[in-house]
Amino acid sequence: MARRDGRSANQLRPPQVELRPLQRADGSARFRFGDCTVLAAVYGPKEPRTRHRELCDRCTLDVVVRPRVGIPGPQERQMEALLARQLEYVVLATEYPRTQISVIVQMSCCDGSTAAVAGNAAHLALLDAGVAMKATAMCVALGVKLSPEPVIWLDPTELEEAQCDALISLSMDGSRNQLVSHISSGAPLDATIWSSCIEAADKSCKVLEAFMRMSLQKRLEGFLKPNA
Amino acid sequence: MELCLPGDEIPLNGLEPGSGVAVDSDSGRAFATTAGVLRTEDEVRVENLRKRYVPRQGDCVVGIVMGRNADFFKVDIRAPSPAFLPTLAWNGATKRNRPVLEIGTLVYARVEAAHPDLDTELSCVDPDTKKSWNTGEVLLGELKGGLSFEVALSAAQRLLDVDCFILDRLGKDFAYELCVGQNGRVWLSAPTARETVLLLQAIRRSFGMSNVQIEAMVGKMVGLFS
Repeated sequence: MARRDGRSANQLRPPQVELRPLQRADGSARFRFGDCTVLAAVYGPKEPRTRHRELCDRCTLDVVVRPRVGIPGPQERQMEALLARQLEYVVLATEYPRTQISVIVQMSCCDGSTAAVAGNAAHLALLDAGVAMKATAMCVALGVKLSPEPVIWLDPTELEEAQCDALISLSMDGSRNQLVSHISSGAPLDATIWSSCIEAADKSCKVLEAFMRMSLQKRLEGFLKPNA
Repeated sequence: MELCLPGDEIPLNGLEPGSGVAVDSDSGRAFATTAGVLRTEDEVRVENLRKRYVPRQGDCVVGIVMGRNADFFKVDIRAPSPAFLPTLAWNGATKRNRPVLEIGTLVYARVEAAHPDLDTELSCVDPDTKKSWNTGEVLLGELKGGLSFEVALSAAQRLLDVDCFILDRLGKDFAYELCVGQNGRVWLSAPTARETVLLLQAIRRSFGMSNVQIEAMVGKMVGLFS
């Protein structure tokens, strides 16, 4: 079944990244897939707000998700837990004992795949801040339509999400071929569909990593080339 | 210019790992921990546009005094936790003759002890000179007047180069005093306020420009100013 915007089933919307849009934060990034935009900022490593939040051998990772409108609710809490799990995997917390790293994620424009865009924005903000990490884990969202026959759509828009039976958001570590975190909702899926989803996510996370390399190269080239 | 992302394997080739490079304890492989450009001069390190400073022993930093008690000044050096500067760690300081710094003063100090688990300790003792701290001729100590601004750590490193083009070029047309801390904080002082702000903008924007562009920018500045 053809997709409304003419993409094939395993085609991402064109990704765009803007590094350091905020000057006061230690690191920040704005990531978008098509229209879906999320802004993430990182403050830290710095002193924890209260003494009892201090961990003696590692840093505390604090994730806050703010919706586009309204007060944060259970959906935002769920996304915070997902992002915390994903970022705890990549960040080398033992490098910064007794400190706190705050990651604030603000939804700018929601058009499907919000958890994946938020995960990518948070990861890029941490890269911009120079926080020590052990891997690069990008995220991507998938929608599954079960009838008339199972079809997996990569990076669904909001309209496509309404048509899908199940929605999955996956974060993959490309170099180690590991699944870092996932969240799914909707109809239960069998093992073959799950493994095709993971395979599709793996390929697109590798594509996203290459895209990130290219954008970082462009940005650093201007500043860090040897003086001519 | 070789770009690396966190997790990328880096061949050490006998050099020591520096900032941004960690060695996996299980397999002994070295990998990058931050995204940036790989530099392999005397140690393998990753250079990027980081702002947060990680204290290292022997670095000279510019800090702002945040608080004080009888024995220490608490100094903010843009690091994960504040540093401590003993009130007696100054040339010729005794219990009766020691500096009293207000909150908000700038100090140029050297990092004496830096360990991630302990508090960072600073010192304003300059071993090369015998003059006392209150003569004002010791290099380390309070920075009076002027203003301070913050730049990325690699920008500060470039300003500290012996042949930094922007500073030499500005020095031909303007008289100014400058102190660059390895933590990215820079103190600048010029005779008039207008000159100070012009020099600040010039130095901030020169990061990323080639020598030809810097020459053009400073030429325009001189034309506008005089």
